[in-house]
Amino acid sequence: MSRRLYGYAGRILRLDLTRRVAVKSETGYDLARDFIGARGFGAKILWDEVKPGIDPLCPENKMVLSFSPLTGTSAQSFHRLFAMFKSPLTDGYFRSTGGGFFAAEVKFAGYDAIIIEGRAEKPVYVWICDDDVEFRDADHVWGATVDGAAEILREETDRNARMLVIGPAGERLVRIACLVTEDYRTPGRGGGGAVWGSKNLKAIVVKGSGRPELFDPDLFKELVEEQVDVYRRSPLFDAFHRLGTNSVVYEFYTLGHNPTYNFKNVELENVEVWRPEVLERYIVKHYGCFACMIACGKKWKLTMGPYAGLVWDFPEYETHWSFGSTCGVTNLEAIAYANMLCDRYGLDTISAGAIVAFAMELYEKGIITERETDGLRLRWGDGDVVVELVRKIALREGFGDILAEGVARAAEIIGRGAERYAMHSKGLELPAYDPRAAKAHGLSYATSNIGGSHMIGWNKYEILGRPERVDPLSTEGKGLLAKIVQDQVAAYEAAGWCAFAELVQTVGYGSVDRTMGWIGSILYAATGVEEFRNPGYLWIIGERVYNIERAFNVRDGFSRRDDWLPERFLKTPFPRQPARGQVFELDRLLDDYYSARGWDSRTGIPTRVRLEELGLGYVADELEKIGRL
Amino acid sequence: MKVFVEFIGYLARKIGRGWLWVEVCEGDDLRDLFLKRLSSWLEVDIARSLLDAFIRGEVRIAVNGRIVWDLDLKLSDGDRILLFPLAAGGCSLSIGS
Repeated sequence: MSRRLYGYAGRILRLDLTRRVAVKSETGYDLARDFIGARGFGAKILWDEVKPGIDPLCPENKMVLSFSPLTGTSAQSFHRLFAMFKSPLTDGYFRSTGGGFFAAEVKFAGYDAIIIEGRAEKPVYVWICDDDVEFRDADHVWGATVDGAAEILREETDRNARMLVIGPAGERLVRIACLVTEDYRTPGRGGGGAVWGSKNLKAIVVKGSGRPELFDPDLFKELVEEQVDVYRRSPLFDAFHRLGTNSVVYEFYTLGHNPTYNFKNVELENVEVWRPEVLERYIVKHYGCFACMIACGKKWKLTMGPYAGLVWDFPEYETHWSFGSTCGVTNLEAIAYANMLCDRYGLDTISAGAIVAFAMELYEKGIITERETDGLRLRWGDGDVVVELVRKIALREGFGDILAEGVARAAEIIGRGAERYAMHSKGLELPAYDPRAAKAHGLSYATSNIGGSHMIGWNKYEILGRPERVDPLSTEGKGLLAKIVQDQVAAYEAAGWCAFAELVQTVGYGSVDRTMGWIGSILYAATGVEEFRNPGYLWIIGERVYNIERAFNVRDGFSRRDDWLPERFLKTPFPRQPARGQVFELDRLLDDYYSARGWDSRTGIPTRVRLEELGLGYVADELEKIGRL
Repeated sequence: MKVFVEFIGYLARKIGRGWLWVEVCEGDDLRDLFLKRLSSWLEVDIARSLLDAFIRGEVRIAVNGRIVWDLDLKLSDGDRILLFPLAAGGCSLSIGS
């Protein structure tokens, strides 16, 4: 007889789109104990079920949407939606995450994870109402923008339903297409929208009436009260509440982050408009995700210029950078408008802006001309060009059809040396930090299992100097530091936590150990799984998740040569303060990192010894069987 | 010699200006900036409160883009000194009376 799991919904829902069949199975105790949930579940299920070598856009690819035992409870900020799949952008393992209310609603409907597989013969959406799961035709909403489709699907199901939708970009298999919730939260990165498009899946709509049952409700309540108190006392709380991640745009630019002009990183003129006092003027409303008092979401209103009249979600830090600094644009109205287009078409804003910046640099260098750009003059700083290219990418129109492949593939198609200006790692466009100005953070770009992601190893030590001071420009000890942060993030995300909220709490506590201890306690109070009480065990889970994700890629042929950054970072000195003269010392940092991880430094592949120490002997066996270990 | 001092976010709102050029003397360090030089531009208790907030870790200082952790740093002509709350949107500092 299996042991009782509290906190969890207790079931996993499998949607076979090919046969239009829904199958429910029990959430296994061992799976829960070994991987907690959310990102952990997705990593394990993908390892078990997705065969190596498949095309990410074929029916054999799967997507796992998974949630935490804390999702849907009163614990603050643990209600993230995690989407794991093989990426059409990187051809490797991917984890993408977004906020909103969808994850909590799926828990209320009674599921800890949804596994999506196969391919529907024609467009469908799935309507989940507690135990009832229906596959419904979606011809009438195929081709609609996210907002248009969401409104129709709400009318057809339940006005209060939550949903995850793709827009025209996903339908057209744009490799940077994303999933979008009805309230415009996005698991944005990696091309999950294209995976849905390839499966003819337009939306999942859900309404649930249950609530997770807690193991120790009194202890749980006590721990949530402690969390609320720490949030309130944290010096980061007001900043995130007041302006969200946009609070740091100007600050980070000054500290050498927020790269400009496709990472050429020369000074950006008119950067004063990034000051928080300026950005605050646009806010007309604050809002948050399910059970999150930080409420970092903002609605902006534009009152001037050609985009006047728009009220939409504000462009957060990364989006502000992608349509702003890296394209040389300081026109806030154009940035906000491009952001809105991405939400409605279903595009990853980070990749979209990075691709536009890539095209602008090719134009500057004369590698492409108006003949190839449908007559557009791709001049740095032209916000209207950014908006037009976003539309073309989303609809695969003209030149946009090439850019819709992402910078790595687009550079190959264009040729003529374009690859020198394609700023990506493993095919994923790099986000708003420069590896030369924060070495452990840059090392995480290079080694991340999902490619150039800022979230897989967001290095608060280097970027904030919290909870401990670290010199961002030094290479000393950075292999270990990158590993520690990657494992921390993996553990937090297996618990479904929001990275911003974790920062608020850790800075409030002043200690990662206290944060990890608190998570262990609340996971235990929610689930009754004894092992979770030990913070050391959570570190092991973080490292286990990280290693099984790595193994997924190793099985698909990835190795040290894929832990790569563009030549610009390795050879061109950073041109402005405070990192003037810095380059990224890739080989030395990689050696240090593999050594800290206990991986083979020649190949970048986890060793059998390390995998067995992490309880992943079965992974080592499979890698050995196919000659990868 | 002169240094450029910038306040952002909450600090700019509280102080009522975003930046100023401040005359400093050869050999001045950051502590001198707060205790001797800024006080001729700002009310004395505001300059002192900023210093205290820095010591408590609630305000950060970057000199030419590098975060600084101690007040003994000697100033040079043209230094750009940025003062900002931890994450620049705001914080519950008590600055001035």
